[in-house]
Parts: sequence; structure tokens; C-alpha cells
Amino acid sequence: MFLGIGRGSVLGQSTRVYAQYVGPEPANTGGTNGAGSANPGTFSFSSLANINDGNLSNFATISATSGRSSVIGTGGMSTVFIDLNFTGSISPITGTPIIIKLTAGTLSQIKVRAYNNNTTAVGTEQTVTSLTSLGAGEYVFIAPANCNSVRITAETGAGLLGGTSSNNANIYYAYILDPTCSPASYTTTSMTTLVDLGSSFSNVTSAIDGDLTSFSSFTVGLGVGTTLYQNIYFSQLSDATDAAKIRLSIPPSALAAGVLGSITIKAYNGNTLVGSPTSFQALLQGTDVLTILQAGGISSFSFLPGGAFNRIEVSMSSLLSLATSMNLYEVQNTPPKPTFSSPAAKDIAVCLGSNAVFTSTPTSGNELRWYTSATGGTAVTGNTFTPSPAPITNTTYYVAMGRPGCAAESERIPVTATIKALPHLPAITPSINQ
Amino acid sequence: MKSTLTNLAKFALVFVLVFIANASMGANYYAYKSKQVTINGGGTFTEYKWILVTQPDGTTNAVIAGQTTSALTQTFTDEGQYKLRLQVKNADGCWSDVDTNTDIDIFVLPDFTVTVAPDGLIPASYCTNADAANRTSLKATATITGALTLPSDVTIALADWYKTPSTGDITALTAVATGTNPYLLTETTVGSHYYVATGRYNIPTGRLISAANAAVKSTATTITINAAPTTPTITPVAVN
Repeated sequence: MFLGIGRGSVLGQSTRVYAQYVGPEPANTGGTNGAGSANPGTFSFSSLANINDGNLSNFATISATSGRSSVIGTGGMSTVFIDLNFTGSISPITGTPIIIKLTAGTLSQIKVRAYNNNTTAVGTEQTVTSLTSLGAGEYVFIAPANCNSVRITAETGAGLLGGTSSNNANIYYAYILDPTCSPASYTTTSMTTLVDLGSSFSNVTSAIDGDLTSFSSFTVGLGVGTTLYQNIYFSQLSDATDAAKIRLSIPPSALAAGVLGSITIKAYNGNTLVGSPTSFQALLQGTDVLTILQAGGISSFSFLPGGAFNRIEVSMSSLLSLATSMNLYEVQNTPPKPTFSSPAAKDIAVCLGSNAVFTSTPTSGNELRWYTSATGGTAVTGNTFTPSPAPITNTTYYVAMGRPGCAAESERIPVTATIKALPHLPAITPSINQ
Repeated sequence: MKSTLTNLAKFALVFVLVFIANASMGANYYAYKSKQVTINGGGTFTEYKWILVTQPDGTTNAVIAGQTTSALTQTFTDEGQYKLRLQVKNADGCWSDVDTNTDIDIFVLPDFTVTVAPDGLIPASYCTNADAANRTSLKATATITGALTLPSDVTIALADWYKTPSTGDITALTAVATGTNPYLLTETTVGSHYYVATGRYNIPTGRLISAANAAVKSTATTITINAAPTTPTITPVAVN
């Protein structure tokens, strides 16, 4: 039996869209006063403007106190709520992670629910303790359907034995990520093991920070049945044809020991597996990624789940004889890598002096980016690419697919221009008649 | 003055009329109009493309249709300057670069006519006893058809003379002189005599790429030789 241990969650980086408190009070607030024969319950609000001030370290407070009854009676429970509204053009849709930061007196009695226009409840109410915790007071509430506000409710207990029960929540902010470029919202890590000696993660947010040079480290120690999991959650469900671009490096010594077979990639739509678990070893068949990894380089490749997904899980299992590691630089939701359909070809032969003209068609809503190098460089966008200057020797170019305006792009695939020599022009020799 | 001209005629071996007005540069090669030429491209290539880069009518870069092998056979029907270019395609499907250094110039020679007329002061008749200074000298002249100017290294040679039996017949020719123009007649037989001159292009050796044309004949020119009067007998009148 495996033991699940070491679970953790953290945020990624992208453009945040914060929910606002649309006041003034009592607009978008409310509560219930618990019954009490001695004193009825109360609820109150303070510093609601702090929600909107752009300062992420201050907070608004909602407070409630139950009713108080006579000594032998029970005071009624009170509630207090605040609605935070996504007032701009971007609002949560089904599956959108809404990151909420709050602290509370009794966290188990803080609830979150999605609404439309503050009046129509969407989905079920969830206690904060049931949500994924990202630490530091941040929780992930998944929008159950399209909505434009979240209601945070604090409940008290019943006032017992002539006393009262109170609860409060300090609410810092709630936000979603601008989904335009399908960024990763947050990531979680976990580990299962029978016997583990020193397996760990470090810098896990580096896998979703948009920085292609920083990385999350998997360290798998000697052990039995140890597997490290890092899950990357995206801001929205991908297109069905989308890919996950995964950028990583593995120590060559681990490669030689067969670590590729211990790395698995899975895609999920919520908790539903999309496609099949894919061994990294199988994924690299027929590519030049392995060569790059064997040289100790960083490799990027596109994983195509074959359906819409909003979560990617990368896992690495222990080997019996060798402690291994892996650096996960970035996991991104991107369009699939470009394809070439006949008569278009990714490898073109042209005569010296002529130019190669590469043509492909991106999937809907995406663009092709052509490069002169496998990494870095400046892209030329368009369905057709005519190198400038025209190649005079055999030359490899690269093409990726991305969303217009978004940095993330698919794996770059090589396309080649093979230059054919021109014939040597023979002399013209007329037949002489004298 | 008359004597000087006659002496020049005697010493000249060949008089050539050279059309040098507005002389143009010489061409690589020459061909007669409407005569087939054969031009070889050499090598073994998948395809050959023969291009008339320039033509007398101003057309440029015209690919010669139906000529895709190494041997171009072409008949030029318009006189004037042509520039011919070859490009070849190898098995990889690549065409050779344009190399203007390999272009050749072909000048297609224009037609011309030959006319004959008495040269100098002696008309088309003389007496049987006329000495050289008083016999007719015929001079041939060539005139190019059209306004074309010949290249500087091509001339028209007019030096062959013939007699024909009648004025309308220029087929049954009997050679009477070669290598001379004008031609000082030597005939002394009384009667009408018919003379024809011929002309032909003089082309630098090794540069004619078509079959040669036959010599161009003039029409027959009639020369009349009259009998000299009988020498009269001097009969003095005696007075005694």
C-alpha cells in the first residue's frame, strides 16, 4: 500500500484579474442575525475598500456573532457574506481556478459559492477547508460554471449555554488569471512511497513562472516504490487539439540508467484522464530530443493528449539502484506543433539561387512562427516562410505554433532547405559552314 | 583625270564595295536568311532552353519553342542581329545560371541586289578598233535591301563578270573575268553583247553557320560594238 505524503500547492505567474467589492455597503453584502432570547445575533463589515485598493497585504473583514439565549437556551447561528465581483470583460468560466486569500477565525465555517450578478447561485457552496490550499492563506476555488462573482460567507456556531459563537474572515483578494494565453494557474506536488530515502521537490513554481530558465527540481532518492508527482493546473480548459509543451533536463547519468522509463506524463480534464498515461521514453521515440538530453541539454517537446485538458501531471519514479533527478523548467498549454500536409513539405530541396518557400497552416486561431535557430531568436510569423537571405547551403530552420500575442508556443520542429548545385553551362558551339 | 581612273582600275585586283556607313560591331557568327543553322549545346542534361535574348524586331528573352535538346536547329527569316543564350537543366531539376559571357551573337545577312553601269566617260558602246582608253568599263554596285547596316567585318565582293547570249537570259553565263571591278571590256566583235556581274558576301573564315547563298546576279547590261568605218582612199585631185 502506498502512502501519500508531502503534498503541497503553489501559484504560477501571469496577468491577474482581481475581483472587486462593488459598494457602498450594504450593496453586495449581507447576513443573517441568529435568534437569541437574550440578544439576537449580529454581523458586520469593516475596511471593505481594502479589497479594491491594490494592496495585497491588507484585507476587509466580515464578522458575525450568533444570537445569545437564556442560560439554558441556544442562540441561533448568524452568517455574514460579501460578494466579490469580476467587473471587467474577463470573468470565470467553468473550471476556472479562482484564487482566494483569506484567514478566518474558524476556517471550517467559511464557505465559498459562485454567483451570477450576485443573485443567482451557481453550483454548490464549498467550505474553504475542502479547497486546495496553496499556503499563505490562499485557496483554489474552481468555478463550477460560468459566473461573475464569488460569495464568501462566514458562519458562526450556535450560541450555547447563554454564550455566543462568533466567526470572522479577513479577505485579502480573489482573482483569476487572464486566460488569453492559457497560463498555468497553480501547481501542486505530491509523493507516494513504500520506502523513501531523501526524495524531494524544490522551487516547484519555477515550472509555471513563465521563465524558461528557472526550474522545478525533482530529486528521487534511493527507495522502493517512490514516485514524485507535480500537477500543473491551467486557467482554462484547453482546445481539444492543444498540446502541453514540456521543457526539462535530465542528468545524462540518469538517462544512461534508464530513467526515461520512470517518467510519465498524464493529462486531465478535471479529474478525468485525457488519453493514456504516456511514458517519456515512448514520447521521445523518433525525435532528436533524446540526443539533446544525452548531451545534458534542456529539451522542449510537445505532448499531445488528444483531447481538451486543464491539468498536466508529470511524475518520476525511483530506480532501484540510482538516485535520480529531473529539472522541470516549464509546462505550458500551447497549440500543437505544426504539421505539413502534402504538397507542403517541411523538407524542401531548391536549386542554388532560388529560395525555399515553406508553407503550413496553423490550427484555428493560432499562428506559425519561423525561426533560424532551435532556441531563442526572433520569429517571423505567417503561414508562408521565405528565408531572408535565401540559403546558399543546406540550412535548417524551425517552426512553432503559438497563439497571437502569447509567448508560449509549441515545440519547434526543424524544417530543412537542401540546396542543389546548378549545372555548369556548356559552351555554345554552332556548326560552322566555312 | 580620265587617265588616272583608268590606271587605278588596271591595278586593282579586287574592288570591294564596303558599306561602312554607321559601321556596327562584328557578330560572333553569321547566317544567311532562311537558311537553317545548327547550334550545339554540348554536355548531357535533362533539358536545354534556347533563348533569343534579343531579336531584330525588338522581342526580348523569347524561348525558342520545341527546342529542348542539345542541338538547336533554327532558321532565321528576318535579317539583323540576334543574341542567343542557352540554359541547361540537370537531373536535380536545376537550371544553370544566366551567364552572359556564353551568349553568342548571330547576324543574319540581308538580301542585296547588284547593278551594273558604264564607269567613267565611255558609254555603253564603242568601236571595234577602240583602244583600252576608249572601250567601255563596267562597274558593279551592290545595294542592301532595307535599312540594315552590315557589321564592319563583312563586305560584299563584286568581282566576277559573265557574258550571256541575250539580254533577258542570266542563266547561261560564260565567265569573262574574275577579281576585277570595274571591268574593262575587251570584246571587239561588232554587235550587241550582254554582261552580267555577280556579288557575294565576304565573311570572316569560321564564322558562317548556315549554308551559303548562291552569288547574286545583276541583270544583263547591253554593250554595243560598232564597226569602224572603212579607211577611205586618199585621192588627191590632180590639177595638172
